[in-house]
Amino acid sequence: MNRMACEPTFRNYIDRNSENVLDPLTEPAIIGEIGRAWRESQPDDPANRHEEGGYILLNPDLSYEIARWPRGGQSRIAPPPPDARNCYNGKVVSATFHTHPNPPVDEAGLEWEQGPSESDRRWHMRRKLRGFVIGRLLIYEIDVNAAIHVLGKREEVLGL
Amino acid sequence: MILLLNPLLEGLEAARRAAADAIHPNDEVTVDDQGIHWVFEFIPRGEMLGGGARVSVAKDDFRILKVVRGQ
Repeated sequence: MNRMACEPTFRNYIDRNSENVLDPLTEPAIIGEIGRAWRESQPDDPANRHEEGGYILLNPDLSYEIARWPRGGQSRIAPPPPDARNCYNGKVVSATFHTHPNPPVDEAGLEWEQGPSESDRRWHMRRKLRGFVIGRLLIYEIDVNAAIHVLGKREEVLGL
Repeated sequence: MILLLNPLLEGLEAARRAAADAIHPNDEVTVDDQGIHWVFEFIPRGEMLGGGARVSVAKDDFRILKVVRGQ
């Protein structure tokens, strides 16, 4: 099943029938997993806050699953690279997500960008992948052309 | 000792010092001339998401006006 998930016929089907594929942020299980990643970022702990993230993978039955990335640093995270077909673990990468746990001004007085950074935009543009950035107040989307959109307040989108 | 005669380069060095904890010598740097100040943006290269910084530096005396770290 995993091998089939990344075959060109499946990719072509997805590309031509995108209206039949649910947006991952309408899936309660995906929202729950992203919410868990947010909590694991420890945003309220100045000494331990860090980035978390992962791939949102599309299964052959058009359901989604999450493949988490290794824990990131305070302001950076390194995704394990998808293959040249934008597949990971033999499955189609539908999108990415990662957290931005640092507040606009932290306890030491340092200012932090809340939205996607330029390196976030470039990474997604290179791969033509959609990404969600989970901030303290808002959730942002980086689209496949690297344009940035605000999806809404984190607490409302994730129910946290 | 390095003598910097170009004001833009001096501004860049001031920006690098102000954001030393958030940037890398290999970062790509862009500059936006805002009239009375420059905005230097340090953009990490490679496969990492996040990092980098945006630093505003006054042209007249190279004061650091603002440092915003990327994440």
